[in-house]
Amino acid sequence: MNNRWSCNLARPLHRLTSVFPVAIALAALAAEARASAPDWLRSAAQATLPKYPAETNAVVLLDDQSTTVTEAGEMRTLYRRAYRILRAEGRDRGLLAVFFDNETRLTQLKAWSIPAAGRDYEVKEKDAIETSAFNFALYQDTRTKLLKIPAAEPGNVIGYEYEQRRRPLGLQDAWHFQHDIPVRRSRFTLRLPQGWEYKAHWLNYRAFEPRAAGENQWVWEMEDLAAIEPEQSMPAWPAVAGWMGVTFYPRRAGSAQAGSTWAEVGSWYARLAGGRRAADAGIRQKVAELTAGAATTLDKIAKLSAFVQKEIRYVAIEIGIGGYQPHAAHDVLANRYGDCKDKATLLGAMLNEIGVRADYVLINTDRGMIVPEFPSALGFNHVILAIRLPADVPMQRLLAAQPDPPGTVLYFDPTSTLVPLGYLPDSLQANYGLVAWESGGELRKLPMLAPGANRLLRSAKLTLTPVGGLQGAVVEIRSGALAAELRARLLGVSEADRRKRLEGFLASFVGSSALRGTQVENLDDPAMDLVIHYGFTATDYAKAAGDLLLVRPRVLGHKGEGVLEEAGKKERKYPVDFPYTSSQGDIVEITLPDGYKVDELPPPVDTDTGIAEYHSHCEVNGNVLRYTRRYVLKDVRVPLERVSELKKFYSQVAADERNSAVLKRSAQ
Amino acid sequence: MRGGPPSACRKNVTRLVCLALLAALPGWQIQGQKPAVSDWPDIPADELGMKDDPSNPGARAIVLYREVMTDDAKYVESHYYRIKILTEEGRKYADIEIPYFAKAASIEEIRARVVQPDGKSTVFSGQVFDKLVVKARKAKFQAKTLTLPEARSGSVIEYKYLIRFHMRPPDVFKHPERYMIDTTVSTPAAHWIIPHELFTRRARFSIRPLPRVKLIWSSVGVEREHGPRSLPDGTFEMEVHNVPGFQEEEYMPPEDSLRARVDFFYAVGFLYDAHDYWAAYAKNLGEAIQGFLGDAKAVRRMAEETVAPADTPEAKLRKLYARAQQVRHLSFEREKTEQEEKRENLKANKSVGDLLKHGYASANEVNLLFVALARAAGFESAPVMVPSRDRQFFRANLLERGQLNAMVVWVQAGPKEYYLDPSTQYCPFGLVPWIETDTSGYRIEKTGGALVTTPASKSADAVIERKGSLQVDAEGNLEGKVQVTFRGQEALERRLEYREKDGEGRKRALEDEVKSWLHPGSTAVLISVSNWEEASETLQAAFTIRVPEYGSQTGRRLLLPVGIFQARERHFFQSAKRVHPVYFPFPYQELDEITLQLAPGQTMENTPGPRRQTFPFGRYEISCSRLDKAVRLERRAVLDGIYFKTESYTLLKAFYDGIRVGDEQQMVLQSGATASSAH
Repeated sequence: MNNRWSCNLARPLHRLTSVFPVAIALAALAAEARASAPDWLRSAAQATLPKYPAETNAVVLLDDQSTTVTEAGEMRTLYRRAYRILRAEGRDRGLLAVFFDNETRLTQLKAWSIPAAGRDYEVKEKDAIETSAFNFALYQDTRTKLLKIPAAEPGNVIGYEYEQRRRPLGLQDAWHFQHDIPVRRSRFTLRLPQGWEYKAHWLNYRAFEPRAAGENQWVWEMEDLAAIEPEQSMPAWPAVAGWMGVTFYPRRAGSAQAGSTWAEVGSWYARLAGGRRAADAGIRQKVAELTAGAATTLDKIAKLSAFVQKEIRYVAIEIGIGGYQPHAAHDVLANRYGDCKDKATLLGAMLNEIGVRADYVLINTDRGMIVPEFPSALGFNHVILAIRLPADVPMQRLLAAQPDPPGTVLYFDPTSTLVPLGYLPDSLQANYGLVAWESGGELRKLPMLAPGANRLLRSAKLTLTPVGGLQGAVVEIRSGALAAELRARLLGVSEADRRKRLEGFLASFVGSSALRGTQVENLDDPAMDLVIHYGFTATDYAKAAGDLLLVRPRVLGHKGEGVLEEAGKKERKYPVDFPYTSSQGDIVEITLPDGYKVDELPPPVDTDTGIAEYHSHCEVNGNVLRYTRRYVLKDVRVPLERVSELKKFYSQVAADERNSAVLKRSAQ
Repeated sequence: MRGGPPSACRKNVTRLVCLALLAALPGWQIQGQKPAVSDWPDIPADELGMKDDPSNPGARAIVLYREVMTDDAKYVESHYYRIKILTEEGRKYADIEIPYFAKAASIEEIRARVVQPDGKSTVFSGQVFDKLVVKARKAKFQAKTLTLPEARSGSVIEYKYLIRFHMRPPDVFKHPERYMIDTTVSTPAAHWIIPHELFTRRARFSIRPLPRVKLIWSSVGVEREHGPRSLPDGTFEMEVHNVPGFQEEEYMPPEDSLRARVDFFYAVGFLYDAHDYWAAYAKNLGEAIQGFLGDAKAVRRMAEETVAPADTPEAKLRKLYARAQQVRHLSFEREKTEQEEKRENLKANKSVGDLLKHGYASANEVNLLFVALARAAGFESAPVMVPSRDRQFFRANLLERGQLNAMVVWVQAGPKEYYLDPSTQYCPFGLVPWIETDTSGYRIEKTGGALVTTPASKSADAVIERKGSLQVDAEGNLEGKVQVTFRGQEALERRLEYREKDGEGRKRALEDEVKSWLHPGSTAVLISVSNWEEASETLQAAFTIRVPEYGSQTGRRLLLPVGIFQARERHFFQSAKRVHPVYFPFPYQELDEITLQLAPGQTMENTPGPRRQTFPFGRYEISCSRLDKAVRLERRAVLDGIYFKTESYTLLKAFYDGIRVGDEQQMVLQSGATASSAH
């Protein structure tokens, strides 16, 4: 297994669940051979199964991972897995995807099927198709073999085995024994050379000791593991599923083992990237040019950061160790492109020229993928910087700064073009990052930005007509993640398409509406609030019922959380992860038509759960109906025991959003 | 159903298919003069200084000039692009990917440069990568990739490359004079797709054809006088200006029918125009099909056993239709691997007799069995080849038989004509899948063919009906039972979509669909479902639903929207402007009849008045009738058209806006509670 750091989203590599366009080609492959399933698969197929819920698609009969380490540090891992397909929906288990590259060789790949009736099937590596593993890179040498297993049908047993030989960055392996379907039996075997030992790290599962299976060989084995069924907005898989990380090393007194502590992982990376940050004349000249006229150190940092963020194009080219090692800073500057580690390298080199030190921070773009208990380089897929701020830098607007006695560090992602210096992309907040320097490293939880960093204030001045029409102007001011999200949608499109998107937004709340005049401010400048002005007219906004006119004062915007509004038959099992905190407010003023008076107003709402709060109020001043509300989400993680409380909270929010004021025609 | 003619037919047209296959490859047929690789054309100052696209402000980039030159004498094709980058996002066009099949072609002479607004030019000298896209056995699909370092907002990027084709045209196209040809043969020579995803200021296309063979062309969206012009040396060329970038819109017709294009074909034999082509197509296919149908005794016997002499013509057809559908249909079974197919060792059907002997059929063989049975029972019947109109419309002037990728059956019974498709699983007698309705195609007769149009679908052929009784409680929650009936296309669509699911999967799919109609937080539990497998019956499902907090409380009142099943309906056509026509799969009807039982103490204060709207293409009505302690809601939405020109968009938008207004009306109940707030 391999993970490269280029901002690709980490994904399970044993089995891809997405449908590949090439899957169709697989159907045409797989030639007939003298087939006979191996004994291990036949044996697994005999397993008696407990009763599973009716919606269980398949069960893992056996998940067997066997790792052998040589004296030279080469790892050979044989993976075997057997499934019984229980439902038609379980057929997708018959598509196997195996990753390989120059460092991870695939030395064998076979799969079988044991039909309930008839002879066995067998397919081999030659029957597989090969494709680039990830499509975000301009070029990379990583590949995936896709193999379709015949007769993956309800009632049948299918299985496969493959072996990978690796010369890994760290002497580590991981045993992921829980899946999205039940597991009947899971086994992990470790064979180490004489004089080696191991250390196991258990995550989300109670630890137990292995049984000895020979000289320097151990076996961990479990039965009847529950499925980890995917839920919307659940934490990352490694944060909820049971798994074991294992580190192994020669038993030699005083020897430092790569990858056994976070400091060692950090040191390894800093050394790997070390020589790449040397500045040449071109970098010095560019730094001088960019910082000329910058009055303060912070101004200089901001100029250099903006340059790397905006002017260095994201392009990933990864060959061999290039999946981990950045290109030289001067090459990145000359090319004007690079991937995340290249951009961090160039900015690090440029900051160094103004006397500011910046360390690499290894991180995963999904919060929860890195767990402190298992020091390892395996889980990272992204690189940012920890900028050590000189004492003279004012901290007021640097929300992503964190004390680092005796000073302060500012985390900054030069790859994101939507998040300015001082902020952090939301997926990196409250996420673990490894700050790396040559003599060590430290895993740190990066700051979670306060709700006030991610603001949306919407104010509308509207007029209602006697026949229910509504018209007026709206201003929206956004910052932080709420601005970044919208910028991402609006930046790459023309003005006409921006207008279409605004029309879509408006129409989702106000029917029969026409957008009038739009203006977007600061779209290109993430350091500034994103401001949008627009007007609209709508016929039939208020609903007539006899002599009543029903007006929904909320008009625009939705503060609900779909995941907590959906009703399901099943009880939720896992916490809820929100992408970011936020603070949002609406002020809506509706001038009412002559001849109507307010008969009833929606009741105010005031609720605060500690995690989120919501306050709304409706009042009448003269002929103006004024509706205000404030919604604050204070944390990104909702523990399971508080999910039902949050559901109730969002139900109140949804009810408030639907509420109407009742206007009554005045007696003439 | 969608799919080609039967295997026997395919065999009989092997020669044609081989030629078509050659043409389908990225091309032996390509290219023109060798591109000038050592120098670049001058870029006018106005292009260097351009800051925005006046026709589309805010655009990421604009194609200033594009050129595609095909030279079939040399088997090469050259491409040239000049693109102005207008925004930071537009820099993505400096990442260049040129896909190719290694076996069929090579990419050569890749050159690129970046020119800054001040005229400073940097020639690309970096690495060109050869990226694997997919490899299966010996077939390799690759891409040449490169990125231009100096590209930034304001830059002009230029690149060009040459495709050299390894495959050569069959000799009959190189030297047609050496052959005695007693039929018509054509093969594609080039396809010029005019719109790019970006606005194109100017583009030039040319083809220097093989010298001794006839080249004919057809076009979509290109007027004849602006189409390709012939030069004295036999080259055809065309130049276009100011072509808007292609935009995708929801509910637009198939993309192929909207993109302006010119298609070139080489033609040999008795082929002078499209009529010749389709006549030959129908004749060849007719002969092949006739061979497949044969004159099997078994067919006659089966027809005799199936129908009674006293049956009406339609009764006979219904019985024969049902009999044909009893055959095991391989195309609706799970997709199998080659190994599974090999082991099952099913022989291809060379005739209807084989089909009956084997007891299975694939693709359209069930349709041909039905044709044989109908003919044996004394009916006039023929297969009709049509395009599946979810992907394309039939273009008679496009000489590509692949357009006609689906088959229905035509039967004449007395004065009445039927179009039927027993090859489609779950398709009942009298209905054909919507993709085969209202489309032109060729009826394949014994000695030729005739251009026909299949009947248009009617809104009554696709109905969703919801009936039920729901209780409103004091808090505004709704709960009760609802019977949902799917008729015609609506039933067929669901039966086909869920056919590979088991009972639990179908149950969940139906429950999810009903929940998707209701307010967030609602539940729907399937009580019963009937007629999954009985295609001639309506598909019916009964649910218990619960809609929490459906009504909103204002103090002493409870407000209830009248569109219970439209709470989460996607609102069509939000934009004021429309680029493409609007195209729906099929006309439809939605019928709702719901009784709301009021809770004790609740009284109806006001109900919205009935609302009706009638348009030339549809109608909508909704009404609330007060009953004793109850309200009866009736809603009917009918769309009778499927294709709406851009000029009709405003009217269509008004129709759907009106439906939304009607559905969002509210009933006002007095809850009996004390008013809790007032101004």
